[in-house]
Amino acid sequence: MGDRGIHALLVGLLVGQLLLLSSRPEAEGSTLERFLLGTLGPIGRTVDVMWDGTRNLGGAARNRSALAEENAYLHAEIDALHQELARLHGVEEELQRLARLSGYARRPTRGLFVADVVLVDRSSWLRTLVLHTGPSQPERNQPVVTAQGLVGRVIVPSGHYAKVQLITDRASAVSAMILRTRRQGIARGVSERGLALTLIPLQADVAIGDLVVTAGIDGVFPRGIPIGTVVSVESSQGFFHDIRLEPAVDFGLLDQVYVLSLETIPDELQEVWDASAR
Amino acid sequence: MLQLVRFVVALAIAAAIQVLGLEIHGGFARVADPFLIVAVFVSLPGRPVAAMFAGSATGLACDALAGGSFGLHGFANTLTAYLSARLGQRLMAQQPFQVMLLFMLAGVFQQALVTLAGFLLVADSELPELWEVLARMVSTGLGGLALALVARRFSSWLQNRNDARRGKLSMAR
Repeated sequence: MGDRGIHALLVGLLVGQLLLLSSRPEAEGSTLERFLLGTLGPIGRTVDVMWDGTRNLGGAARNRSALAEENAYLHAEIDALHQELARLHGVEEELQRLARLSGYARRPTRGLFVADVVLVDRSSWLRTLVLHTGPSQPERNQPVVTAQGLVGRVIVPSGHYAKVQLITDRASAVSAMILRTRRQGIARGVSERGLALTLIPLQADVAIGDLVVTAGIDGVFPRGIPIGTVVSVESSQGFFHDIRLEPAVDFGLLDQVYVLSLETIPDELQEVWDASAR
Repeated sequence: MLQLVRFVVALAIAAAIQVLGLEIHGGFARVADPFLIVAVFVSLPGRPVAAMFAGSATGLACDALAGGSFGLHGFANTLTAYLSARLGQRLMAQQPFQVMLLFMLAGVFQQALVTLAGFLLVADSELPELWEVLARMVSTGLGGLALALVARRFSSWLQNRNDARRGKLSMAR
């Protein structure tokens, strides 16, 4: 191939990449991205499983003497959790009874499935998480959580793998609420370890230590999932506080996460939306 | 066909190294880029067409596993690999120092491209810190040199083995 052909090929490839960069992605990422994620995902998972196995082997050999103690502690913890679960079942039943009596329509609880973390890059500016969802098929915008709090949402599902946008990603924005005062704002990622809570007016009551949870008004994340804790409040020159949050989740310790199923829209409501769209 | 198979295997190994590196230390992706090393390695013999396709494939593979916009590293690696191939043609890099220098220059150039394309085309981009730039430059140089030396050793071992086989065959006749 002559120089002209090579230059034409170079221009063609670069233009193609720029089109990929600047085009609006499909609802679930481009076909090429999903293909590559689905192809590279198993490689990553194999490495992840082998690494975990190696660590566990070494850990078991070193900590053999502590295993029995940890086992006993975990048994006691499980017993306590069973008792708490029984108590909460009673509370749930009472709430449902009261809801029926008062005619209050409660939102149905969401299903969830467990996913293994294959890869987590939390420190570079291209923060991401890749999950293996086992037999379940992930869907775009499914919230990803742990027992500690909110992790992010699925942005590119591919087969049994999913790429997740972390809440600490600079492009992430989550509707948030200060639990104590119910004041609502937007939680945005600003750095590896930080979140910023924006759109909180200067006259709003906010203090260090306040817990911030999801507000449930962005159509993606349900209400009440812990996002983080307020660690600094500064008054800026504008109309809003400059608030920094410590995330509730330690992204360095992620091993397994829960993926929440998307809420199904009631048929009656979907019919109304479809009718008004026509 | 054999070249293609080798490239695919190299890409898979780069993906495995990326995942393993992140398992060992969460900041691995800030200081190393195994995909870029594979792209520049393909460019070393000075073949621009192979280099461009290698750059595109490695860059898009990196984008598939990373956050941010799909195509960012694809763009940067394509151009970096092409220019590395052109430079490789001029320099005919054979000495270890020359090879390492080529990889280091490619590392710095690719970071500059990613940052520039990020600021121009992607919202919420970030400037890398100086230590990250230097660390990536050094890791790309050393990683590329190691790969080149291993590949050279393997090639000469393969050549010797083939020569020995041919020698045996001619003696048998």
